[in-house]
Amino acid sequence: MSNKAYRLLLKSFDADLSPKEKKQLDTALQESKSLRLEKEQLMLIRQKLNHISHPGFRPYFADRVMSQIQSSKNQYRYDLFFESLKTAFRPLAISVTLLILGLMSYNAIQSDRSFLSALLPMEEATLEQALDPSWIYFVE
Amino acid sequence: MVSDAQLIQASIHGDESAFKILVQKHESRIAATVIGMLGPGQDAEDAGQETFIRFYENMKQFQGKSSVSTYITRIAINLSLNALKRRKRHRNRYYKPDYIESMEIPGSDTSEYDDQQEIVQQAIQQLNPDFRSVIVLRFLREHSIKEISDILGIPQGTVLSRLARAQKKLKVILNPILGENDVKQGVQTAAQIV
Repeated sequence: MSNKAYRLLLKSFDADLSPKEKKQLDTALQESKSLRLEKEQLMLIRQKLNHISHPGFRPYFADRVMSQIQSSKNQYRYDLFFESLKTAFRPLAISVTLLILGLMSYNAIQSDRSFLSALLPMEEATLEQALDPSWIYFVE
Repeated sequence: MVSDAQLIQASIHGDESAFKILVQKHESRIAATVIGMLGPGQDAEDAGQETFIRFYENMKQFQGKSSVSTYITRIAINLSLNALKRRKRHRNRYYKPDYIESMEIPGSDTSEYDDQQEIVQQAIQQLNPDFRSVIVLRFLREHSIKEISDILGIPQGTVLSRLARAQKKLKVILNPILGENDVKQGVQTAAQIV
């Protein structure tokens, strides 16, 4: 059995052979018993392959697919919401910081009190006042 | 009967029931593909679901150059090949090589395999992914050589050569299991099919 004849045999199952190739294969099949046996074995294997049947997916496969699609849509909406919050947070945080700094600067410029008490509008306590418990109640 | 193109149009416009019909229509073909590639089990179910989800997400890009069946099958094959790569990585990481060998070769002892279909399926699972995909598409899905070439994106000559090599490998694996008697019995039926 030649390699060429074997290749032609394999090709003959899935593609059309030219008249010349067909004649070569027929001659080889007539002459070689091993090639004929090979053909029989290959035909049997192809038959077995053709007869494989799969049970398919479990029941309600389409329902499961639709539910997956629905949950991925919900996830998308959820992601979109938090993504937009993330996007909005940075400009908002910068604006609020600038506003606070502006107010603090305004307080510092306008006030005649010390710098810290002007920045944070609170009474500046002396050491005695700080140590006096009654003064804490006064502040509160 | 509503065509695939009409169902796709309806799905694009938000009709989810149309997409569900499309899934039901192609479910068995995709099942044959992914189960053929991955074997029965959760991996195949996951790949099947993912196939339709990917199709849903990319439906607007579908231009109708190939049939819906071919397009979805292409997605299914690609996802199955990815799953096989993941499986191989996982096995290489967690199992010793000698254990992998013992898992891959069912041997010629037929006592464990009463059902010949099971034997053939086991044999397909032993082929490398490139050969497995052509065998699945040719025999389980009954695609033509041209269709297989379109799905896999390879020339028809390559499909034919992979088919030939895959059959040679299957013959080596299956002959000791199926036995000589079976060959003689099967020939007459096979002659009608091939």
